[in-house]
Amino acid sequence: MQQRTINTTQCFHCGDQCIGASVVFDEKAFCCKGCSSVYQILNKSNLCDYYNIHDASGVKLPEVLDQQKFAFLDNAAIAANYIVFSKPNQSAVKFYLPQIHCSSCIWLLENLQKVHTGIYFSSVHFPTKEATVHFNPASISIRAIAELLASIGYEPYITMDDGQATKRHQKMVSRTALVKIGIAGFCFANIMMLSFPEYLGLETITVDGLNATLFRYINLLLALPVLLYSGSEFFINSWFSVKQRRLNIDAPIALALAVTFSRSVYEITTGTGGGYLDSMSGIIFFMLLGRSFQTKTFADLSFNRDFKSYFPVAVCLVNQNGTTTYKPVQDVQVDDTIRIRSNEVIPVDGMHILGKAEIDYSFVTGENEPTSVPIGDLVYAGGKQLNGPIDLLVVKPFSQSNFTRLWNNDAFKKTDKNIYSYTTVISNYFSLVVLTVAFSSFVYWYDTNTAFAWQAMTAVLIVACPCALLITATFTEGFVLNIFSKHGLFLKNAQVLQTIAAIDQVVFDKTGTLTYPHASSVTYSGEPIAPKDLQVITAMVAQSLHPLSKAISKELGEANIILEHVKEIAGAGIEAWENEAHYKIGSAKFVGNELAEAAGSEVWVSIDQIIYGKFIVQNILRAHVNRLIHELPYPVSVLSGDNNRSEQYLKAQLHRPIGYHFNQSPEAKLQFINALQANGQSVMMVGDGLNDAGALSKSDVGIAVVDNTIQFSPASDAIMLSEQLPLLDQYIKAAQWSKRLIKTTFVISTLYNVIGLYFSVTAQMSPLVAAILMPSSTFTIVFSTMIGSALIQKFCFKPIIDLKPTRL
Amino acid sequence: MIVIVFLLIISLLVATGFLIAFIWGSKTGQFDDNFTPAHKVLFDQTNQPTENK
Repeated sequence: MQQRTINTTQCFHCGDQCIGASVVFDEKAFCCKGCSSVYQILNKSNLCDYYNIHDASGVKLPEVLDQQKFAFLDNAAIAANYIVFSKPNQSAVKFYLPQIHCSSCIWLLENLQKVHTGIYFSSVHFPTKEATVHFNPASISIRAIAELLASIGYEPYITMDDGQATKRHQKMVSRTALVKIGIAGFCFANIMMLSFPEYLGLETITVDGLNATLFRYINLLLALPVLLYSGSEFFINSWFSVKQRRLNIDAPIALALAVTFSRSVYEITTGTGGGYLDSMSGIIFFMLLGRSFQTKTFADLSFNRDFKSYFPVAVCLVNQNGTTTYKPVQDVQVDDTIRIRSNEVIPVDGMHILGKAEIDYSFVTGENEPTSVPIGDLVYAGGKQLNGPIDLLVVKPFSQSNFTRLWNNDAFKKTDKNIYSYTTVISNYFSLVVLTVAFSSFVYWYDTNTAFAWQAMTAVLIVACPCALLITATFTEGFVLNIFSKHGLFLKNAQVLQTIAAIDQVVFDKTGTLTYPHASSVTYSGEPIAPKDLQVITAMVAQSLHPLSKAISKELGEANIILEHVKEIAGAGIEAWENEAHYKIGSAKFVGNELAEAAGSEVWVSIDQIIYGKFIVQNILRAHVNRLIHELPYPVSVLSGDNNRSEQYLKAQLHRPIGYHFNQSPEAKLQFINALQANGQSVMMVGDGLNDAGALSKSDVGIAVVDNTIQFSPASDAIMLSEQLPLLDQYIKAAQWSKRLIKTTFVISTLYNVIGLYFSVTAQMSPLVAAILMPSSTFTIVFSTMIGSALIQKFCFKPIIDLKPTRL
Repeated sequence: MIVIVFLLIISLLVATGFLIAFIWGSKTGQFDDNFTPAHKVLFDQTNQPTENK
């Protein structure tokens, strides 16, 4: 039923261009076997409506589906972490499926019961990309559910680190914030309504023995939950800041709130006035609103992943009698024998006892070339096995492995960054000025009229609290954060925006950041190879997992013949006997070329001892990166864990003298950032791998570059989609403009404050003036920040490439 | 005047009812996900095979 055709149509399942050979099934074209197999599963279960909701909405399957990947879920203790509830005939399991991206996904995942009868129903939580599956444990296992999800393109993402508890905690926090805003808004609106007699000067009129006093007491009652519940965080935060002997921005607000409330209570109980409870609850309401806007979190992104989320959850243990069981990584003990399969990360240090170990340590060292380890030698945690299963004898438990120790080293710990916040600086000056004005007006009035003196001083504190400044900053940053995330740069918090505006040095990682992580340019130089021989070479590289073979294989296309006599020598090359000839590809030494200089990214070809030529594999720069480097108005450095063979290429491509530093270990990268910071520089580090993690957390702004938001990213301040990297200079410019916008709107709010202060120090502050000033200043600020942010978006972002829609 | 006080109390009670409904809604997570339910209602409930594009 399956046949191959050559065309360039769109894949029916995932929408990618079908390059070269495509798979045709049911008269529909698919780009790969994975996509067509998903279609077959869905077709069998009558779920092809999936494609009617969105065209070609499918998720591409990884090239190799590992049959054993979810075997560890058979271990009840591990599986228990993912079970939400369990009864004898019904259980529910919750998985994080980062591939969820559109309504088709929801439709498919909520119709899982049609694929397997053991599933009762399932539900999707879109913001966190979690699916809860209710199933009958008697007819389907958790492992089978995970494998079923993986087979239709939604492979559960399971790590040690992404604990369920923290997510639940975050959810609770955001719900509480919502309730706080709701209560503040409710009370604010009602207090304003009940203050109408005050605004209209009707409070002294008595009808039927009743006057506005009742309204005032109801206001007081309504203000209590606002102050004590909604506004509690201002008091708590400022209390902590006072305890640490460092004034934060909440302290002047807490003071203003306390003064406003006490004066209002005094006025109401003595019957001298209506107080300023409307202003007070309005301030709390707008502040909370602004903060919720600013702290809009990306529920499915994780900025704090450490190395643990990179390791497998469980390891395969080989028992004495040869059978295998699964055990959580933390429980692995010394002298256990563990089995590591291809493409698995080694979680513990161990002695290599069986198989062919070819370890890619690029995540630890940044060096791209795999290392082959002979039997009996040590294999270190953090490496990735490339060539078939190997057995290791554990020599150190997980918590003591070299890698874990390196990460628990102080240098790699998330340090308290030197917090540069101009809003804090401005607000400190502002508070000082306000306190001076308040105190002076008190002194000025004290001799003539003591009551006026108190009134003037409290009015100054009420009117001129730094709330306007805070609202300015929170709303501007909220808007800009939204603009950034729409364009594919996700900031951890608003603080990062202020830090970006102040950087004066940019450091890039090379592999995976400036260059494409996988795409490499493969060029062949030498004698032409006959098509018959090329077929053999194609088949040779196709069966190898070595990164160079993979790169060449991608260039040569799929193999059409199956080799019978083929041998891969780790660290050297591949040889095969076919067509009565002896083919060898690999290092210069392996094919017998003693003259050539040893260079890592060259693959030599020889047939029957005659050297034909070599494939040169080179990482290529991402599109438009040279423009970016040219445009950046800061000193730029490139750090790479690789050797310096790509220096010439980089120098030729980047038309700008910049600093190159090769053979940098993760610690060296960290030290490099340290040295720059010691010179007083504010450094932005852009990297992608675990080997950059130390530098990313040390730098003032660490940006992790990812190809999609599903991918693992080290702890960082911001996550950027790789196709946005060429626009980095525009983001920096936008951050700087947002700083200017905050300053401008702050000037506007100061003007309002000056008007308010005039009324206050002359002791003419009436409830009506306060009631007009406060909301109108807030609305002016929100409005001008909105317009300003729209202008920033319009003028700072000039797309130089067609931006793909963000798949968050 | 007494009627204003009466209306005032009624209006506050009604508004409080909505506030309580809001608090209940947020505490039980009804505002956690505003994407899935909005799209779910648009899906047709079909059990028979449908024509593919």
